[in-house]
Amino acid sequence: MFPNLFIINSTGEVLIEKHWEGKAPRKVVETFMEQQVKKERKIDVTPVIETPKCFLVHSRRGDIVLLTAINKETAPLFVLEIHNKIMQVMYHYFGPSVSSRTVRDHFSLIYHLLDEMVDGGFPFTTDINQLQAMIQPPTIVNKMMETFANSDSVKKALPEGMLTKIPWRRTGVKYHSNEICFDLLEEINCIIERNSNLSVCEIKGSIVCTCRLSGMPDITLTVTHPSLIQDAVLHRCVRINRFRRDRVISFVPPDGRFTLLTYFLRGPAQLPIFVRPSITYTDGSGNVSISIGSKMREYKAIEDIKVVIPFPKEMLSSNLTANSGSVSTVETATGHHREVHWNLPRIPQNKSPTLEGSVLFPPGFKADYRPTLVVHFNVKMWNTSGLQVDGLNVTDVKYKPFRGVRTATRAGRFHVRC
Amino acid sequence: PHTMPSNYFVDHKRGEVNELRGQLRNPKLMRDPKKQREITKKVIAYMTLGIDVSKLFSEMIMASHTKDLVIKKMIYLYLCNYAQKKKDLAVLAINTLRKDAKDDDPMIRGLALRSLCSLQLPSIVEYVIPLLRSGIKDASSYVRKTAAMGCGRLFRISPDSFRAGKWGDALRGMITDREASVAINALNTLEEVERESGGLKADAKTILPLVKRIREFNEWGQCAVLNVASRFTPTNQQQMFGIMNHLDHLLKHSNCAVVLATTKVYLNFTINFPKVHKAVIQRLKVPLLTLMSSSSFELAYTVLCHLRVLVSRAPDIFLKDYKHFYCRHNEPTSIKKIKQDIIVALAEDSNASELLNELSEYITDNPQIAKQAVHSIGKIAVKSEEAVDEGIELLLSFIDIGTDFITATTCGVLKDILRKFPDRYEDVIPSLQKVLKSVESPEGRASVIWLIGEYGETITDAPYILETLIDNFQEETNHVRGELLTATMKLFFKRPPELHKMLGRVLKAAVEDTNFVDVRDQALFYYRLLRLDPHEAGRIVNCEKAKVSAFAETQDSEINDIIFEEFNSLSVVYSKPAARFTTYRRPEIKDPVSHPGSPAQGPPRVSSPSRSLKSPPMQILHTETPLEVKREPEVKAKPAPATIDILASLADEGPEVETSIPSNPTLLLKPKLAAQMYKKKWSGLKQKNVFNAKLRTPVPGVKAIESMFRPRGIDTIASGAKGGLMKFYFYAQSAKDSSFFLVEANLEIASGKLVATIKAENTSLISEFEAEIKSALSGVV
Repeated sequence: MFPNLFIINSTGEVLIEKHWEGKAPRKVVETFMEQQVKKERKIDVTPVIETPKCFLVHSRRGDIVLLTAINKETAPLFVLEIHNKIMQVMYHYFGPSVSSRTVRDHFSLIYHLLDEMVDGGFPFTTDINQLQAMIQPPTIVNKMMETFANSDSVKKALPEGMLTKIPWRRTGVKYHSNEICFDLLEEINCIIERNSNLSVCEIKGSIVCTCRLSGMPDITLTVTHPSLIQDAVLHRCVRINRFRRDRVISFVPPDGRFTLLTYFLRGPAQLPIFVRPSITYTDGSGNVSISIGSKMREYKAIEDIKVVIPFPKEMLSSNLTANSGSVSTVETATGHHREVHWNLPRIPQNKSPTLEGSVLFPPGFKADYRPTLVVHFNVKMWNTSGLQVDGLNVTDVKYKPFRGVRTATRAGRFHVRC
Repeated sequence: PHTMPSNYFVDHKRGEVNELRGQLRNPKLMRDPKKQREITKKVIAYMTLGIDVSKLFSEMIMASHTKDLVIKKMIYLYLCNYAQKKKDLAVLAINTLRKDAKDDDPMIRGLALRSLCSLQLPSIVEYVIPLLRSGIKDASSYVRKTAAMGCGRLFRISPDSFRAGKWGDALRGMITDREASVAINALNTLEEVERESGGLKADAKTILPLVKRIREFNEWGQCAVLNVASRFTPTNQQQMFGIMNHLDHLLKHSNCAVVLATTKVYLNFTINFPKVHKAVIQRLKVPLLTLMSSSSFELAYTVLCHLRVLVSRAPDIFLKDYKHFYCRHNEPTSIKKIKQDIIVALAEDSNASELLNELSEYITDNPQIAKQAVHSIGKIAVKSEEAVDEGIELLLSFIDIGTDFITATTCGVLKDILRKFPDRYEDVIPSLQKVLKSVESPEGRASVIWLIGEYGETITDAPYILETLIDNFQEETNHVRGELLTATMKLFFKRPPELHKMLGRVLKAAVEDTNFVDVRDQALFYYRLLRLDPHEAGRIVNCEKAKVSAFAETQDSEINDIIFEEFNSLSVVYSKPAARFTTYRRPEIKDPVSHPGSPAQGPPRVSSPSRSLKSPPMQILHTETPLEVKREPEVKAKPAPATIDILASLADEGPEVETSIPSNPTLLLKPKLAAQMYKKKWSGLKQKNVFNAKLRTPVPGVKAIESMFRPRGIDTIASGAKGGLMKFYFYAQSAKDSSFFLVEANLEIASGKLVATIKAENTSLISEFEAEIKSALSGVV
């Protein structure tokens, strides 16, 4: 049961309120805000809060919160997944940065969407393709049409997708130039210990497909090391039996961009980058020396490197210089730490970048704080696992589409303890 | 005009609503669909802002005569929102809606039907019913699925006409609709309607076809089917494995709700087959770990809660995966807490050192996490022999950090460790002694005082430390006072000359201050003990302490079992059974032991005593609070709750009297009855018999009495002691016809007078049952 939804902004103002079963009083929002005030960091509010009358389940995305009050036993994941889905749809309709402003600007459209997505307290049409067939996203062209031809974004016909066996793809898709692209993306999540051992390491990989093909294409994709994606989470369009039997990914794709599959690899992996931090404290000050460099055997461009070094909030000043890139000091939102950000557009080939200098504390300050560095970077044309596309076949269509494959790796939660 | 919709949200004056009314009444404006749409939008905008626009109700009804679908939708939204407030006017809307419900366009038909049903007005039921009848047979699946939903709303407005119209049967027929969305809506509605009786009956006829076509449903439909399926009991193993194989692909789903619902089906199916059950958990491990690391914080948190349950159930399966539960410094506190719980659960000799190291990293985190980390280190040290040295060393190093809350927590944890390894005190005492001067928090002080009482003979200046503390007795908190009292008492018997005066002072101070009742009671108790027989008192207070072998986990396994049954529910997040926090509860009348296919395999589901003990509807009576540490045979322990007679509460904690009585022909050994049903049955049965008995005094404790009855098949649903009276609610089930016996018993603690009111479903068996009670009581009468 998904009885109601409040979308609120960071100050607790209700932007959207919808009730499917019964009517939850607005007071629940106040209750929620009271809970939030108690916590130092907003993310520390637990997703499920028990109150005397009901349970408050919430998801936070940017500056908005999706809040649902339930009073009957309901699987909490069910509610959270619906929140998740609603946000996905909003991202699809309004772009990747949905904020309270976006919600205000499009509130009537959001009501339409919610009306279709949840019916009588149960999620119903949540497939983006189907929703899109019923309610058009607000594009500039649509806005023009609305103004001049007086047709709103809600279409009048029932979507055909609802009645087919392939509900994720709309029929009658037409493109002038047909193309299909696969992005093999990997994200490294790891913790590097003080003794530079790799204590936790996992690779989160995904194959993201951008499909702009006319008609009803049937696609067969094979990869070089199918064992890597054995435990993958698959998009519903993938024929699961075929995948199990032949390790071949065969599917009729949805239109547009979608994640075909997600996989996880656990255990040690080759990292593209090394980080050697050394931070020592003496009375009232600290010495910092951090060097980074490429660990790649052949040259690959490692780009957009950012090293975040948190210091205790008592830090008075810092005098840190880098032989390449820029350094800045940032106050964190919660005021717990002061962070030094070191940004590098890329790792130069000839020298190894180093950040050196000292930080100053009030005299007598005892710093027993051992910071964890957070590192960000991007590597193009390379992935950790070595997964590659082996073959790609498009059948059931008369044209020859353009096909493309890209590979990229980035740091997910790349933490270095020092 | 369309470019700035955000200006709907500027501050409004009162006049705005009146202005809107004027616009809505202006025929010129309303004839222009574009303008009309603008105005309607504005009304809706006000409504969402919480501004009362119900005054415009009649105007909005007028405006609903339109062909424009968008305007229609908005007006319907408005009508449903305010229908409750303007009941008389809402009837006016019905004509429009009824007309629309017969429109040619299925979208309008569906929309009208949906709105009509959600008006929630009992007065319109008669109009709704014929429209629903035609709706469920409509050619368009959109209308059919809306109608299925509407049936649920009909039930909410008027359950009687729902039953009279046999809508349940109609819905059951719709489950087999060829259109998936119709089937799912019918299923959802039936679940809602039959919620009181535990949801839709999960029989093979309903379940198997749904499971078979599971791929047709969207993710939410799959959740619904899986929920029902988890209540199904397969008739044989072949069927069980068949269904499980068929559902296997859902574990790869990207939707957490689907994966967890599937998980629940798997776990419930295999609960009586330990081997398969383990294999299933093994199979579920990877998908769940994947969900944990790939989802948003909120989802990850909830998945972790479920993992915690699985880990506590089968730690060996997760042993190698402990590293996945290492905390990231930017994660929410809630996630870190659960991860630490899991880390502790997974600790064993081989990984203890590594885990201790990891946990010591968390000391610099926020206070909540840092405290928990100290506790976790203590738990691991107690759990694994290998880790004791390292654990103690780490903990001692924390004392030097100097943060008060860490020092205090560390003292407490060190105290716990000494209770398991008393011979390690030499390492610990010196560091703790110097701490006492600096530590502020009561828990920390209490722990150190406990240590002084316990090892006072080896600390040269122990009496002086105590003396300064006693000087400031009035400033200490309740807890510290109690500990101080006990410590002085203990040390008195070890070093009488030094302590003699001090003990007098502390007893006097404690007795004189009536604000702290339990400290006072404790002092009086010691005082009387000393007067009665000082030697005996010394023996009692300074008795040989049994080593604490393990610390009781925060939740006991019985509760864990119940939570496990409620997998994929809020219970898991709260680590307590649903009955503790929700008023509604699915009555549980499952076949207790027998599982077709394999009668004798595996343990039965949760045994009923646990359920009854913790059953909350009558929980008020149960005064006991869960204890953190297993009891030592030491009188001091915790100060007894003030209102309860000390002796009774001691007896309460005494070891359970486990008598082995051979299986009994009159009663079923393991009766099954949920608390809810108990209440219902109790109030349903009118005839009652009263049974009187006089028990020997002093009477046994609550638990002891319960355990006299349990082996005979007479189980407790709730019990407790209050104000000199023990109260019990027993139940039993006849072996002959499975009818229930219910007993309410009151026992006066002082006099031993027992009055039991017995109600029986089958009154002819009542004398047999009485005989059963008599023989159970034979030992104490």
